[in-house]
Amino acid sequence: MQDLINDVVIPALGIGALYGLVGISFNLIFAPGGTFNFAQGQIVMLGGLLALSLYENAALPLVAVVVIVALIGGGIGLAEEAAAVWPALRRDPNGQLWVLSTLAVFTMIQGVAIVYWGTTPAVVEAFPGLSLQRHDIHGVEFVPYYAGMFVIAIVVMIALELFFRRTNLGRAVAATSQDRQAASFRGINVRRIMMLGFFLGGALGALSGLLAAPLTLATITIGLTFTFRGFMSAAIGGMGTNVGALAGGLVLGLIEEATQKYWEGGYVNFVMLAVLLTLLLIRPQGLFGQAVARRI
Amino acid sequence: MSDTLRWRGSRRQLLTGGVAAGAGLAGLALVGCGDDDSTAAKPTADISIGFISSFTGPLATVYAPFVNGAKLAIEEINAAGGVLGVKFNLAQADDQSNPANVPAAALGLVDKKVSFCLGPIGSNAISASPTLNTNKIVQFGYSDNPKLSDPKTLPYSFRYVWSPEQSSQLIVDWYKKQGWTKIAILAENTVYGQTDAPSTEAYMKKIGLTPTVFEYFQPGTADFTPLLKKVQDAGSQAIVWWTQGGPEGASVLTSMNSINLKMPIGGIGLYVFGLIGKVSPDILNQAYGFQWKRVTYTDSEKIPEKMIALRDKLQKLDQLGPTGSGLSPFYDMVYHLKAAIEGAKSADSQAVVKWMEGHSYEGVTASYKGITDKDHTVTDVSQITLSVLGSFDDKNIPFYKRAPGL
Repeated sequence: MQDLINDVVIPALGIGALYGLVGISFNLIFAPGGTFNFAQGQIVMLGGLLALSLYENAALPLVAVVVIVALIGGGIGLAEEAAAVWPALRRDPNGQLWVLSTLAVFTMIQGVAIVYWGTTPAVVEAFPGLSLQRHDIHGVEFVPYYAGMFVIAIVVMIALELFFRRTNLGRAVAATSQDRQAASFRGINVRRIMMLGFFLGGALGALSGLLAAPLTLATITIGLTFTFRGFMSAAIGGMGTNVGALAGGLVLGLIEEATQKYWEGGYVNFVMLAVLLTLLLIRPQGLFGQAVARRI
Repeated sequence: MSDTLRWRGSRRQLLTGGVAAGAGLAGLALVGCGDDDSTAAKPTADISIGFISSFTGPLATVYAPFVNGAKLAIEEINAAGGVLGVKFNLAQADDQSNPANVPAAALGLVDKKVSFCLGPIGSNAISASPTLNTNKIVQFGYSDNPKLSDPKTLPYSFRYVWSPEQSSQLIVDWYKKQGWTKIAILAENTVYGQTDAPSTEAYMKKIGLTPTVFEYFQPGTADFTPLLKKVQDAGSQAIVWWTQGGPEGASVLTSMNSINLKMPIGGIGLYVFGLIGKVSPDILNQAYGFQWKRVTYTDSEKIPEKMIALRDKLQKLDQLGPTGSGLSPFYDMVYHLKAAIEGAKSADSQAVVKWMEGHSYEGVTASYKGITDKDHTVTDVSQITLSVLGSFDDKNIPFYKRAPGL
């Protein structure tokens, strides 16, 4: 039992929380526009590399680094919306051209990152109070980093829920996600709401990369992994629900750690996909999603 | 009967021509049977050496230092008068950082009528081989794929990297010598890992050892704690590691640091750049990587002068690369080719292959010997060693301390 807690549950809470944060960042973009950002993992990757440059190398104060990384991530999200997503939707609102254009952004971000940062992975020192070292507390291995990631993910999720439920802007996002056309008839500027979604999604994606960097290292190769895991978190939890995305991330974390512990690490993706497919067969709307009835 | 096939000369001319043709055929027969250098065709035009690599795209900056070594050698050779009176020039074939483009890049070299090709680098090398061999282009391959060294199937390909069998033998024997016989094998779950890691298990079995753990992990794994605990719980004394060069090699060392696991780990793909000062020296000083012997030093054996000179030359030209990959054998490959052309007194690819199969070549990075018409492995196990990765010093790139006793 102690092994299960120390080797599976505790790391799963931390790693799963990171996946959940990326899943939430997918949701922030999906909710208003109904599009997935397949370059999201690369924005996460950039967050890690920016942590390396600004925190590790330039030794800027952590608060300043967080603000800069959030602004850069949000700015990239905005630019992507303006250059790759909105033009595709304007040309064909029901088309899937944005799939190709966001994949193109994925490749472009990676190319720029390789030229600027190179391909050698680099260590980013753990942030204050979030060490990766293990502390034995009555047989339980407490890892401040994992605990910190879990708490941060819960706080982010609650803050976003409050934003969507308690503020006019948040309600406008929720209304747009329900029905874009109806929202625009009621005077909501759908384009601006989409831009907000891309800004918030980009900012949260980059901040997730910053938080992940001490664990994953700052490296150009993690983009695909985070695109895959973030998308799966959101899909398992139910597209559009932030509680679901976090829960989906925690499920993925548990699968990853348990597969490594009790079977073989090489089967992690296989088990994750098997669980996702099974879940979607039984409950297509995901764990926390709601089935939507439409009158035709 | 058509005019072109009709003989229009005199009877005397026909007889003279017949005698000359007979003499020519006899001469050709003599060339085939003997080793008369005077009959070899010397090159009359400059010799193009193809180089298949990623010249554009995301991998371009990574592979540039490899190409730099070859460029430097070509510049030096041409400045010194060339080879058999002609010069080398480099014909770049770009795979645009996409392995799927390698066969097309190889076909591009066929169109350019090159007879020699360096690369491609890594596991892509084999996908260029069929085209290169069909067109009798000699391939100086930089991959550990055993197929590259089998002249039965690829008579024009040579392998300039040690094989997984050679590295497995080296590391397992050395572990055994240290008294570490309980060995775990960890490898990435990719074609590379699945191709190379079994060679370690096979060698261990051959000498009566069984791996304590033999496990593949997902590329992109950041937290190796569960796997390392499994290794620890199985009573392992050392780890053999197989990854191709992603961040996992650094991640496993940081995971070892977080659980304070001080266990020898050695193999391919372990990184220490950026880990010095952040991961315990006790861990980094027990991390080992395969290296060309000549880039390692011991208390009594220094880095050869020629190697330092080449490093300094490339560094001065800003062409060494951040990890010193400019010192990889591409510089030697060009000089090896020069030696083969001069030895064969011909730039004909068959003659060059024949010369290479019968002669050793003393390069800067290694001594290339043991090449035969049955085995095109250019490197033998005496040329490689294990380096202590914790001895990495960014002011002394790419030289490492050698593992004790090697």
